[in-house]
Amino acid sequence: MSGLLLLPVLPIAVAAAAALGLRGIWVRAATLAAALACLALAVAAAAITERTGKLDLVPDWFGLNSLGALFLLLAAALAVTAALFSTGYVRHLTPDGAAERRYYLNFNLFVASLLLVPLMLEVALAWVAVELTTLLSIFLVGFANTGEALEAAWKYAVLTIMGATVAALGFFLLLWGLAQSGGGPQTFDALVSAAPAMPSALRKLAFALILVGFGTKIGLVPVHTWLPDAHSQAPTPVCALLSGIEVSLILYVVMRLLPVFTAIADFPIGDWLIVVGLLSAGVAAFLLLQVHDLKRLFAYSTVEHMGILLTALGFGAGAAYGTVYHVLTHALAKSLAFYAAGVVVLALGTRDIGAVRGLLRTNPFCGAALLAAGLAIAGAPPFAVFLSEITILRAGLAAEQYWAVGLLAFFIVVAFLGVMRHVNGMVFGEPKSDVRAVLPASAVATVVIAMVPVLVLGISMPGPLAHLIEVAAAEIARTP
Amino acid sequence: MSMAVVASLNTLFGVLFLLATFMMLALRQTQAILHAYVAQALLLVGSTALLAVAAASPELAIVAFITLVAKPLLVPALIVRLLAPALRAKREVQATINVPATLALALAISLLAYFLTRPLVAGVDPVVQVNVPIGLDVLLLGVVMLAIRREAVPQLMSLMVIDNGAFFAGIAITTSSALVEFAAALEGVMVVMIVALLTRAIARSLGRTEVSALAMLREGKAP
Amino acid sequence: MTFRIVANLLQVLFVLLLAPLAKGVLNRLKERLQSRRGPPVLQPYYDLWKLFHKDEVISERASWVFRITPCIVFAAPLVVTLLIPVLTAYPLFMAFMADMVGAGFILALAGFFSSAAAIDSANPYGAMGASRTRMVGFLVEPTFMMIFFAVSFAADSTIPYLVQQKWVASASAFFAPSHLLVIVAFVMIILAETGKIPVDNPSGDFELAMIDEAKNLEYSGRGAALMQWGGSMKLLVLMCVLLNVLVTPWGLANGTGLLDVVLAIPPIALKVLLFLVVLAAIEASLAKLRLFRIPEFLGAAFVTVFVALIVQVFA
Repeated sequence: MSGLLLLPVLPIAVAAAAALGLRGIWVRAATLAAALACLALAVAAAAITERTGKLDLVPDWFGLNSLGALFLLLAAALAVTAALFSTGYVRHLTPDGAAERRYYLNFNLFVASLLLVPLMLEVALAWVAVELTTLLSIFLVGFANTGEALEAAWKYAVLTIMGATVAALGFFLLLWGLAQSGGGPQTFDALVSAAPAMPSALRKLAFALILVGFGTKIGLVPVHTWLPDAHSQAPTPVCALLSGIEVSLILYVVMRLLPVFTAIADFPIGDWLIVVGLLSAGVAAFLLLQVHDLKRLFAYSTVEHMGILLTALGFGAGAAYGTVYHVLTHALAKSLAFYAAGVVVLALGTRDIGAVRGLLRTNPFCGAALLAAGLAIAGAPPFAVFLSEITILRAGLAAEQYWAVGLLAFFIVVAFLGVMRHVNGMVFGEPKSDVRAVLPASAVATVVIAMVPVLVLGISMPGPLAHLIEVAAAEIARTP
Repeated sequence: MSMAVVASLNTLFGVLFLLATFMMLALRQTQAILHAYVAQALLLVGSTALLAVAAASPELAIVAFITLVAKPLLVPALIVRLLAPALRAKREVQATINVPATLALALAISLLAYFLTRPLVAGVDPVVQVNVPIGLDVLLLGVVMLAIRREAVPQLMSLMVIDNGAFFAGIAITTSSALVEFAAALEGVMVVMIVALLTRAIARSLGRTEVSALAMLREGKAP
Repeated sequence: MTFRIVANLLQVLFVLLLAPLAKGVLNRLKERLQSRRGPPVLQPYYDLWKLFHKDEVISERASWVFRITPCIVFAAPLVVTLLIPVLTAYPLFMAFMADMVGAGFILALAGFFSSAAAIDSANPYGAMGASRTRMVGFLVEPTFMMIFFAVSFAADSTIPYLVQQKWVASASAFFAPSHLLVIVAFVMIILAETGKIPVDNPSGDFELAMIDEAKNLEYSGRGAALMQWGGSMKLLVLMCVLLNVLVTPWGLANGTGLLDVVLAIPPIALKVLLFLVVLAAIEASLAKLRLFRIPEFLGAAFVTVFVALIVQVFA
């Protein structure tokens, strides 16, 4: 299905148009149209891979497997909601037309890079694509041009580029191992099948480098310090993209490489992943409790969920379904959370948690949205995140990791309490101020649209989607 | 050129490469660090060229050429061009730990790097035996540099050092996939451009580039 | 038998007589590199002649240490000359009296006495210079030791003649990275031990900034002559160790005739001259380090030789 090659091209074309002078209503409409077209293509690709398992565009270079198709679908869906939210939000952020064009230029390039990552079958190109997602979002993070935004952009740039380069050495080592044990095309699949023939010392060192390097980009403790800053200072739709799908895409690359590292003699990779994951989840859960900034709250929640995902990966093949399911639910719920935070900030003009009270009364829509989003991301029923977390915990029990499951459940509860404490404080109580601002229609629409899947998936899962998740999970659980 | 001569020359380049990294850790003036970086990049190009000759690989030769244009030439030129005020502003580099302690830490890390790569390179091609440990070592030293330097330009240089280290190991072990090297060499230039522009924005809006003092985003503070 | 005594004597005379010339050439080159005219190359000889013909004035507070130190400082490098290859590639009969560690100790003995004498004279600048010299020496010692370890790892011996035969025999051994790093570290040590820039300014006369020169402040007449001569001989001896043992044995006499030994003098002198050019270039292009930066400089030397050791052991 060569139409898939259009996927990255469309947003790049819009970016080029924005650079050349397209402005105002046209550039916003073009962005949204491109994102919708990408979503249609992604749905088609997902349908194909759900049936056939993989989809090759250019063999050994570009293509999708079912896991990639799911991530591509998520990326496109989030791109649509982000584009929709941007139409009203950017005008509010800056009235300057030139700045708005710059935003859309960066935004479209960033979306294009996000769509590229799942399409790469070549290992080296996947690394390049991941690096591009970072490079193209640096200026988006610093868009507000305040001291804080620039500080966030600096930390983001420096730490994630360092992580990418450290991981690059890990990739070099893996490619060396591949060459040593027979050569062939340098794709993920080739690496996985050549894995048993590679020396275990090489695989261990490569694992350490890739875990540290990409762990920095995912936001694992202790190299997570950039994430709360970057994911809160960026404009809201960019935050949604960054937290919702960009860190997950890096986790996607790690997931595709994971079968290479399982089954190394006296190297219990599962235990290592569980330890690292629990560390992230725990530290983030406790740090959540004392934030003052609404967007930082959700950014820490991202760190926590990444910790949960890594722990789930450590639970082994049995938790693969839960892991993929959780990526899906987290992407949807996290973007909803950021959109809700975005409308709150638009309505009240402040991100300070302590300064907002009684939101349900002053602005019922914002209050309801924030409450729902908070419940969703914290993992309350009947929202989807609850189901995915339960799936992961059950899989952990089945894998007899009792201590890990207990700690993970504890951290989830702590995070739940933290998020709900802050959100309840904002939503209920006596209103402090009487501001009733007018929200842009697009923002309201985005929140509603984003809410739908989060609610629906909590209640029932459409068959094809469930099947796609199963096929994708089988990809992770593969042993070489 | 016989393999023995190539191996000896490569070892020479490798050790000078490591020495240049130590100099970057020990020197205090920003300009001197930049010069040491250029020396390091040239040694990387030299090693790549040697490997290209030894393996008779045109791809590696192209990679050597791209690296020559990108790393010793373009990157310093970009830094000097885009960051001239920041370079002039702070002649001396501030670090969070003093130079002798830094050097002691660097020694410990060198030992660590050699230990980690010992099982990997046992009984392999002598070129790989030199490049992989030194590459990992320089990468780790770059991470240390990033952690201890306070100014924006030295932090940018540390990113470049990490890049050089990863590359130095990479050229010896991925002789058949020059694609990786192309991509990474060009990415290095992109990184420098972007980070330099960011530094300019910081200098313009905050008036200084002492990035370790940027601590406005903290938990205790309300936004 | 006579030959060996004569060869040994020739070595000692080489060091004794050419040391002031080396100092003169170095000073002239330094000035020339800075676009100045500089003193005549034979100036140190004229200075020594002048000093030997002057009266000596000794402080009342000084003890026998003060009087004996010039002799020790003069004699130590001459003793070390017997241990190292200066003109011949094969060991002469005193060569196994001590190895490089022993040679280091003998030079350190001279250093210890000159520091003691500086304090002995009750000149406050002397005491200050002595304490600073000790600081530099204390930081130099570990690097010296590491160099000896690295050398003995590579050459299985610390006798200079054996090191030179085993280590620098082939081109590949010459380019071995540990070898080059040891050379770099040793050059840094020479700069520190002989009080050259960037550690100390040998032509400075501001007492508060002196490190090495301060020890010579109190001496006059014959004592001063012996101290100066001993200092320049120490430089020449260290250069011979560097050039003949560590860098290359080129130029050393291989044959056992007197003519061979005499014919070895020009090439060795040429090597020394080349190194003096390098030294002058280093001195003319660097600035003197501030006192608290000297540990950094010497730390860098230590790290260099440590890396040489690591590379030696692991690769």
